[in-house]
Order: sequence, then structure tokens, then C-alpha cells
Amino acid sequence: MGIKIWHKVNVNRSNRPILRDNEEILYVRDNVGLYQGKVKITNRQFGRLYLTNVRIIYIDNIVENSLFLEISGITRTETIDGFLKRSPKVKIYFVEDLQQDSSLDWVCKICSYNNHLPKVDMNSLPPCVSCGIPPTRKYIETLMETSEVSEGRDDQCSKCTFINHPSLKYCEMCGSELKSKLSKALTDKIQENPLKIELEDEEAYSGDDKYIKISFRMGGETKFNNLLVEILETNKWDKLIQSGNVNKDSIKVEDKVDTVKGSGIYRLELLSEQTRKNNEITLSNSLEDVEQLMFKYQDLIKLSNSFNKLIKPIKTYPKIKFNIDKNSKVYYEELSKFLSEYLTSYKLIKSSSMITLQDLFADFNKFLILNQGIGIELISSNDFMKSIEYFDKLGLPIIYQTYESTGLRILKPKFNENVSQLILKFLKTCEIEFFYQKYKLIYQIDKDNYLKDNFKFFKGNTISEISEEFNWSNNITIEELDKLVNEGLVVIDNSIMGTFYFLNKFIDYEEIDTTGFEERLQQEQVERLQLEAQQLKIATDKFGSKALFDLKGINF
Amino acid sequence: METFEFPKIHSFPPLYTKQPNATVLQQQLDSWCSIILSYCEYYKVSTISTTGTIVYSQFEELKIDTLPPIFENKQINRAVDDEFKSDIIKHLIHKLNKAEYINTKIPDQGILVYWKSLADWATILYDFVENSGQLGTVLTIYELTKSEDSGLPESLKNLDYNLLVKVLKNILIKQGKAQILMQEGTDQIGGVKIV
Repeated sequence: MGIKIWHKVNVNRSNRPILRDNEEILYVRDNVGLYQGKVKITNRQFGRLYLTNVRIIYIDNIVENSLFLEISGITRTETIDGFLKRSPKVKIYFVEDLQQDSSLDWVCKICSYNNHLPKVDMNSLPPCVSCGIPPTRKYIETLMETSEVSEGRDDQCSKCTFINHPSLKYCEMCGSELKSKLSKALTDKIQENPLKIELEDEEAYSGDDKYIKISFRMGGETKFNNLLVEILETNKWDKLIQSGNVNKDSIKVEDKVDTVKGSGIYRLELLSEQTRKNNEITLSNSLEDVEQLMFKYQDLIKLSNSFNKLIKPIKTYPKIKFNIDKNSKVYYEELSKFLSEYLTSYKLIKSSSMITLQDLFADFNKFLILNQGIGIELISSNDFMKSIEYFDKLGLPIIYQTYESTGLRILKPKFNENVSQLILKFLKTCEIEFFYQKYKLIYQIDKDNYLKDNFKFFKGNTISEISEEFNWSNNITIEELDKLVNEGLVVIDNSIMGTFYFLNKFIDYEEIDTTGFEERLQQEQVERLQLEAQQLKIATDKFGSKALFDLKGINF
Repeated sequence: METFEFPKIHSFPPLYTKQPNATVLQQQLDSWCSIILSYCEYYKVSTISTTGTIVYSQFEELKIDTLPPIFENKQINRAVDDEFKSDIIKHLIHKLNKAEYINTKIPDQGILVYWKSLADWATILYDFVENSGQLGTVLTIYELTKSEDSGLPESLKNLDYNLLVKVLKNILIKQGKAQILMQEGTDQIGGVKIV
């Protein structure tokens, strides 16, 4: 019966276990359940686990069900990982027969000291406490045999022959344990299940060894296991020391024993030698790692190069380097030239292009990073401003201009088109386009009147629309429009919807001439029909020839 | 009666925003004034309030409430704000001299809109009196504006009392062609003698 391993635990009022002397709690874990072998202990599933240096204590939510387990009875442990709904568990193997009544007294043959053995282990017999000479095995064996037979009555003390009351466990006179002579069947019956452990099923174990399992529903099983193993290790060691099988100065072998012995200059030398050695190991290790990394790096480069074909080609910018002293005039001149080059090739492509100074500064630095990678020295605003001023002196094809009203500074190509005219033209085109679209409405299905509502009247153009058309930043558009408004060429419509700009029509208001629209519409339709006809022709040609080709194979 | 057809510029959204440019603003105000004048002529409106609502029309059967508002265009969702409205009215009065306060001390009484100049009105009035052979006789206001069968021309029918006063006082009296007889105890005109 494996359940005999469990004992009843004493609990204090705050439902914590009452600890023994020299016992201390090492680890506590909530929400654990117990298994006897393969079988769940049904009434021990919700509890708290205390690991002490002597016991594993289980305090159930129903305090009366609390149990403990002596660590001394444990042989080994292992962890079982959780899987899906299965909680992680720790498997604890134990020795089944705790020979409780195997204590033995023996008298040393050398010094006649009366030794007491709490547990008889034939493999490691402790020496005499007084003289240090271990007893012979044979002597103990004979003693054990005689002690079992020589008993007269079971209530008489085997040591002092005092006859005790039958219910006493220890002798009233000398305190030595009394050997109860109750039949084994009877004791088994009494002790069958004093703790009322309920198993879900018949007690069963996988393998020969008896074990219990502790299920950790909230995790923490590894730590528990490590601590338990540590305790087992120390216990083993202590037992070795106790049984006198350890030399006086012997030290348990640790994993990292790196102390230097000796003294004086020799010790110092040894110490420095050791540090050197450590350094050497670290350095050579890391250098090896670096080398490894370099190899890996080369592999990576090769790999990434092999992928290059798949990536769309990245715009390659010309490489530039300023290896000029920053304090010299030449630096600014070169920077200025380079800026001009950059502007004419990327930013100011159209004759209507304009860019604000801020945008250019930001874009240029971004460009530098794109071009030469992170870590490149960026252009400072001071250098930038200075080099901008060189545009004029060097006769570069860029004009640096400041709007008087707001002080907005922009750059534009020297041969800039008349921006005002461009805007006016754009506004005009937009209006014509609007009315043309409106004109086309009659041919479109518009059941929910969406188009009708949208094309009720020409709403003018917003700043963002104009900015988008010319690829300007909004500030520039605002400046240019302000100029046009001041000249009286453009008028404003301020409404709750926003600000819209129109061509000035106050002098003689004229509607958009729609006479050309009919023609244009017809033209468009003709073109569309032509395109369709063309496609049809291509299709028929293709299909026709294919059909012809197919016909050849048919035998009539 | 057919509804007044506003000129196309009435559907031009910027018309409802006071333009920042001075020249454009003048053009804009002119546009507005011409709209007001043609509107008033169409409906024969002689008096409007300073906010542009119609106060008096010569057409008796005309329901003033149903007339389309001058300063608003529902089609394009735009309306002139009050400040700009008063700018337009001032422009009409002082720059174009095509309108006048009924009482300069109390502008809220409304303004007279001169889509026809006072001189023109005076000529029509004088011609009517002369042609009907009533020069020198004392005529009541009723006879000058309401009379049914005295050959009163259409344009004078239901003429605004305030407008008539202006015509008499500002033109005919100054020309020495008219005399006014006040009703006793009131500031109302009792009779007019045109010579």
C-alpha cells in the first residue's frame, strides 16, 4: 500500500503547517493536486504545497485533509511537462517499506558502549559513537535475529524489563521503544487508510517503483523540483558524513571549484596566473566568435545578393563625398554646387517646380542617408544656409526667393514659368472640365442623384488641389494665391466648407462656353468606338486564324 | 407673376465672400448693386430694409414673403453675412447714389431704391398732371397714386408715399414746379399743387 507514505500534518490556527525544529519553508506553491501513482487522489486536488528541508507538506483547502511526506523517504524525482490541458507535474519516487520498527540497539564489543541505530542499513553501518570502530555485519545480523525471538510479552520493555501498560508506545522507565506484538494483519487493518485518501481508481503504477505525482496547475514545477533535488543531495551528503564515510577535510565536488590554494607570493603568482588564463580563455573565445560571425556575415551577404534579383531595383543615387575642410570657402561652394545638382535632378524637374527651404533641408539630409547609409554626417542648418547663398555667386540655375508677406523662403529654377499664369490656367481648365463633366451627365445613370448634387455648381479649387497639381507644399500655394488675390485675378469663396479659389469674374461674368462640348463628346465617342472596333478586329483576326487552323485538321 | 431670374453671377460662390482685394471688392459691390436694382425694378420694389428684405412693392397683389431673398442662393448654399450686406447697401447709397435712407436719423426705417432716378419720376409725374390738364389744381396723394379712372399711368400706380415725398421735395419743389399743403396737426401731406 503506497498510500502509507502520507502522514497527517499538524496545522496551526492560520492554517499553516506547524514546523519541526530546524525545519524551514523553502518554497510555497498554490493550486496543486496530488496523484498516487497513475491515479488521482480525488479529495486532495485543491491545496497549497509547502516544501521544507524535511518534508513536503500539502495543505488542502479543507484543512483536515492536509498531508505531509517525509523527504527522507524519497529516492528520486523527475518533472513531467504540461501538455495542452495537462498540468505540469513532479514525479516523486519513494521507498515503500519505511522500516519504522527497525531500530536496533547494539553494544560495542570494544568499548561496550550501548549504541542506538534508528534504522538498520546493512550496507552502511555506522561506527561506534564512543570509540569509532564499526560493528561487524554478522554481529548486527545476529542481534536482529535474537531481538525478534527473545520477546516474552509485548508490553514488557526489552531493555529494562519493566512491564508497561499495553497501550504505551515507549517504556515508562527507560524511554526506549516498545515493540507491539499485534498481528501484522491487524495493524494493517487499523492503519489501512487513516487519512481517508480517496483514489479515483485502483491504485496503479507504471513500472515497478512506487511514486506519487504532484500536479502544479499554476506552474512552478521546475523550481520545486530543483529545490527538492538539492535537498536530496544535501541529505545524501549529510548521511555520508554521519555514517563516517567522509574524510575529515574532504569537500563535496562542486561544479565551479576555482579557488587557489597556497599562500604568500606563490599564491599571488597563482592568482595572477589564473586571471591571465581566464582572460586568455575569454579573449580567444570571443575572437573565435567574431571569426565565426564574420563567416556567417559573408554567408549572409551571399544569400542577400542571391535575393537581389527578386527585389525591384532601388533607385541608385550618385555617390558623393565631401572630403574637404569644413572651414574653407571651397566646402560651401562644393556643397552649393551639389545642392544645385540635387535640386535640378530630383526636386525641381518641372519648370513650375518650387520647394521651400525647410523641405529641401529635410529632403536633402534624407537623401544623404539614403545615399550613404546611416551614420553619415548630415548637413547642419548653418552650412546649408551658407551654401544656399552661394547659388547666386556661382551662377547656378537656382533662384533663392523670399516672399515678403510671410518671409517664406523658397527655391525655384532660374527659368521658372510665370507661376501666376499657370495657376490661372489650371483654374480655368478645372472649370471647363467641370462643366464638361456636367454636360456629360445626361448620358450617365444617376438614380440617387449623387452626380446631380455634386455637379450642381462649380465649387472652385482648394489650396490642396492646386498644391497637388503643381507638387508644391501648401505654403507656396498660399503665397502664390495671395499674390493673385492681391492682383485681383483670383477671388475667394469663404464658406463653412472651406476656402475655395475662383477666377475673377466680377467684371463681366460669363458662363463656360458649352458649344464645343457636343463636338468634344462626339469626338470622344468616336474614339471609343474606334478603339472597340480595333480590339474587335484584333480578336476576330486572332480567332479567325485559329479557327482556320483548326479546320485544317478536320476530315469531312 | 414669374419669379425674378437672377443674373448668372448670383450663382458664383465668391460673390458671397467679401473680397480682400480693394479693386475686386468695388467690382463685387457693383455687381451686388446691379442685382439689387434689377431685382427691385422687376418687382417694382421701392423700399427695402437695411438687411435686404423687401418692404414695399407697387404690385398690390404681390406676396412679399414669397419673393426669393436677394442676399441668399439656396442652390449653392451661400448667403451674404450682415456685415457685408450693410457694406453693399452703403455702396448703393453713397457711391452709386441709387438709394437713400427714408430718414437719415433712423436708418432702420429702410431705404428707398432708385432703380428709376428721382428726376425721371418727377418727369413722369409732371407729364401726367400736365397731360390730364390739372396743372394748378390741388391734388390729393390718393389722386396721384391710387385713382382708378383718371388716366393715371401704370408706373405711378401705388407709388410709395415716401418716394412721392422725395420726388416732390427733392425735385419739383426745388424746380419751383410744386407746392405742398400739409394736413393740419400732422406731418402728412394733404395736397399737392403742381404748376
